Amino acid sequence: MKYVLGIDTSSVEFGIGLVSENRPVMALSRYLGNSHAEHISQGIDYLLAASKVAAADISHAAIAVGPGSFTGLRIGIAFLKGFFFGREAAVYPVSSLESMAGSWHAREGRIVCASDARNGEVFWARFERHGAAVTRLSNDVLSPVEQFAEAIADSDIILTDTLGYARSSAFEFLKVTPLAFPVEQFPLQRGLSCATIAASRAGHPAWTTAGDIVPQYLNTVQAEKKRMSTVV
Amino acid sequence: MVILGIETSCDETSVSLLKDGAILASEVYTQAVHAAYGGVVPELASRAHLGKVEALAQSLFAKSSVTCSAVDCIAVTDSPGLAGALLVGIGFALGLHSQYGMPVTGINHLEGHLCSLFLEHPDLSYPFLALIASGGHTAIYRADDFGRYACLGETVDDAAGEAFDKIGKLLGFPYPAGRAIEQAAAFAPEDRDISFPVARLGGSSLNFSFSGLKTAVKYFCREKGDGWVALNKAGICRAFQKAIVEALARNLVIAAEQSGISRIGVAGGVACNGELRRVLKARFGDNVYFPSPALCTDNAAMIGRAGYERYKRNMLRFPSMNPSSGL
Repeated sequence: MKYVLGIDTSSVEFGIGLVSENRPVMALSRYLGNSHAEHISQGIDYLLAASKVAAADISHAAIAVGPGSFTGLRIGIAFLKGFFFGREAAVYPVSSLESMAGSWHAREGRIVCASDARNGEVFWARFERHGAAVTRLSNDVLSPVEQFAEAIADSDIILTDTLGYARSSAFEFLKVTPLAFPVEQFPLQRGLSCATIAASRAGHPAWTTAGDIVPQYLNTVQAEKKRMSTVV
Repeated sequence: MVILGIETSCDETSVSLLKDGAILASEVYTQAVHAAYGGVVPELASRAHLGKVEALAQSLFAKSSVTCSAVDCIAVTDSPGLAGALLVGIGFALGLHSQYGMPVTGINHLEGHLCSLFLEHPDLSYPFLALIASGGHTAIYRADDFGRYACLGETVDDAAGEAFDKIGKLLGFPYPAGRAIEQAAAFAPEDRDISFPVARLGGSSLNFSFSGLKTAVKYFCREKGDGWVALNKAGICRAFQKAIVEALARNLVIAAEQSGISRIGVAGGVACNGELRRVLKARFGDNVYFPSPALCTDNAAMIGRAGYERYKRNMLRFPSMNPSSGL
């Protein structure tokens, strides 16, 4: 596993990074709104050229698989399926919330990562950070905002991501909480975080092929919800 | 020259390989998931594209014995279509581009339909009039050369294929309903008591309108009652199909008279309709060209063919991420 390429397009942050022998080589992070597809190819080409690594030398990658922006996730995953098409390569799926936790270096302790799932719901999970090590304490879940609010402890560091939703109000209640940080205010490196997490998990059974990577939406399509409610 | 075509603009996931403009191999997957909703659900379409595109490409290359490194150019639909669905195809194309370095070009889906005519008709030459009629589009274009098109008329409301699907839903046919309506209509005797209006938009307009027809069928069925409609479904299908075909044929005839161009190409899913083929053949004879049915519906071979034309003419353009509705 000489190089691990990391891609996170789950939010408005477009994050890519390269790790070699467990050390960061290069990372790029831009807040691109809805234009990940416009920049992903040039971004990866630049990252590899600047790192003096050929695309053919990349045989391992880590990709954020959600939860997050449905379209954003698909752009990153579709790109990776094309990038590794016809090649022997291994891919490690990384939770977008874990990627967020892994890219937060400001404080140690219990970190709750949450993103706005809209319609009064949030995706969230709890982690613990000590030094460079991030340990998962709970699964990624989708909860109503009220339930999420009840689950937060006073000592939790809370990272929130509106996923670029301008009218997001899911995290309004956290405005007076001193340990709550909207990620838009901080330069995260989520692509590098994905690569770092994957590099530390050599031999983990979650490693798979690009063809078998599936997004973890955690959320049902509105039309499906409506149809099911009609059926019931 | 080997071109890889990728099409994910609506509910067909398709990849195709062409050599010098001719099909080497093609894969098309029609998403069945939408049938339960009576129409295409964009988010479900995007999810299904992502689940299929890589596997279809695997099968395509295995069939054709071509390797990725032999591909000279990737042609991917970038407009018009469902934004989320288009981005799956574009993302996959860009990944291949970053790995293998071949150029990638965006293709307008309607230009792809127009190019589907050349896949089986090498004798077709410019200029010609193109009727593109499908579930999402209905328009007549004057095609003077590759890349030089003028829209002479288009639908101001529903597309022709959309009208088929909506009436199909009203009559209880599964989505997509075009084929079922055609099959039912074939068994119906001529019934002068059932007829529906063909919208005329006035003057020399070559635009179409199908929403009035849809409303007429709806009110007709309501007035007659469920029992009568069930017994006379085939007759309703026949009259409805006749109205659609008449509208399409009438505007094509006027367009041919106005432009002085008598060569006609018909593409898009509605071009599969046997009655439309019969009527246009009767009117234009050997001057009307249709793709075979498999190439009428959305497919990547037509996108690859458009890519081939662009590559030959040095007209490649990076895929656009801002889908527009026209050609």
